[in-house]
Amino acid sequence: MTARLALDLYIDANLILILTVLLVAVMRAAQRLGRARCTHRAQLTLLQTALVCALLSPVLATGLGAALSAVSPGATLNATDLAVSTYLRGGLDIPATEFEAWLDTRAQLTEAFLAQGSAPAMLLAAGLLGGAVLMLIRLARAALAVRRGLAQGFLWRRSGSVDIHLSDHVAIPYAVRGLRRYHVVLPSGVLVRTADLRIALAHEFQHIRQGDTAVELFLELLRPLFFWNPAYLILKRGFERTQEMACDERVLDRLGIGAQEYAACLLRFCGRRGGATRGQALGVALVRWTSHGKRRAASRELQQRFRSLSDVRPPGRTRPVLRGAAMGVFATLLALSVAGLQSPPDWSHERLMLSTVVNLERLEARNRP
Amino acid sequence: MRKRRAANLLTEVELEFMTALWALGRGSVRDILDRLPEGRALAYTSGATVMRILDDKGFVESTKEGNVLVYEPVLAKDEYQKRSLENLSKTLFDDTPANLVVRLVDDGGLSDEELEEIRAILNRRLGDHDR
Repeated sequence: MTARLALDLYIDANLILILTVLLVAVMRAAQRLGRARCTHRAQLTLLQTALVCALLSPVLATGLGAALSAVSPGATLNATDLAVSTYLRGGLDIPATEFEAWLDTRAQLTEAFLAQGSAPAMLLAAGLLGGAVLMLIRLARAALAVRRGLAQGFLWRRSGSVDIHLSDHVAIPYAVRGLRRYHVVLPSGVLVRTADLRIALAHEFQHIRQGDTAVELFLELLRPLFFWNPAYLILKRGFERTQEMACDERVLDRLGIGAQEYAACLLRFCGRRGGATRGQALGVALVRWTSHGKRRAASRELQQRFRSLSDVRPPGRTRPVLRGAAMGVFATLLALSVAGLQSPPDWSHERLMLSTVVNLERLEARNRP
Repeated sequence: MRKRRAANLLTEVELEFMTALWALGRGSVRDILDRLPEGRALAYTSGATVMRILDDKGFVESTKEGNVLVYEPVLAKDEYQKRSLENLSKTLFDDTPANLVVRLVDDGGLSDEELEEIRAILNRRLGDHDR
């Protein structure tokens, strides 16, 4: 794989992330405008679909392009080809040389980055590499902390593919996905607080059931690559918040307990000091609560959860057909956007014509007295 | 043989169970649960888990009598008190036991009789050293 191809793929991946986040924002705004009161579970499904669509978008875009070619030969979804076609029809009033330079911006930037000629390019490369190494170290430390936490704990029970551990070293329960099994880690003191134990177990099992531990691990593995991309951070934050609220919603329904009792349990866990939190970075905790730093953000998140608890709607009220249609629209829009962004495999007839116009413009400039 | 994990101090719940076991001398999970304060409403399985953890950490040992596991403390109560005080002195009183004693005496929570008792203990210890 050449460096150019790797860089192109990296840029495409970042653009896909940005498009995904934008489309999720549009879908949510449409929900609000349409006054569709969705459950948090439905919102989580939208995010999960967005993630799957983002992963499959290159394949979906290629498929869409092939389907279009089969139906209408010569038609294109590519944004560059569409822009050239618009230009040749007189839709844009700028000199051909300028227009071609604008079309080649990405290629020129890529070239400059690979040539390492300029100081900004070198600085950018060093920043990206340094950040990625830092994130990899953080990831490795979190993985070691999980491993150490599980080794220090006491394997209490095994239920299907889930191991339940009791640990003296954690204050807040959390669930994490291992290579082969899921692990739920509970503070050993919770054993004698039956009501809290019931809620903590139901909450962590719900996280595992709705696939949150796998998503969390996957997104953390992506962090070294996309740590600087605001779209990644927005997506990650969106998942964290929605996962918790969807989980709360489901647990309240499943256990048949009141929101007040549930909130009181969350607060009791927050009130317990100490305990390692690094291992939670790869998993999903009952409450994101740290004994140091970032306390304000955690507190805000908790307040938001409490507000959401007071407005919990019973799950299952969203119509599956409507949800399926929304997902289909999302997948199509994302595939269309990605198809538009992809570099054209070959120069189209219009692109060749643009090149000719550019050459004529240059010739005219040279021959001008 | 099961590998035992080293643990220095007991958690709050474990201490509660150990206190009951120290008072009993030896006993089953049911005996220990019966000695816990009233209103503790603890499930048998939770109690059995706490005792298994204590066994795992090496604070107790178990023998099977019929169908029941009977537990005995491996660590005596006064040994644990000593260990706990050493840890407190190390972590909170800059590894200076004198500071711990000063805080205890200065606190004003001790009655005259208790202070007299401490004086007698100190005199006895100092007398032992003088000899």
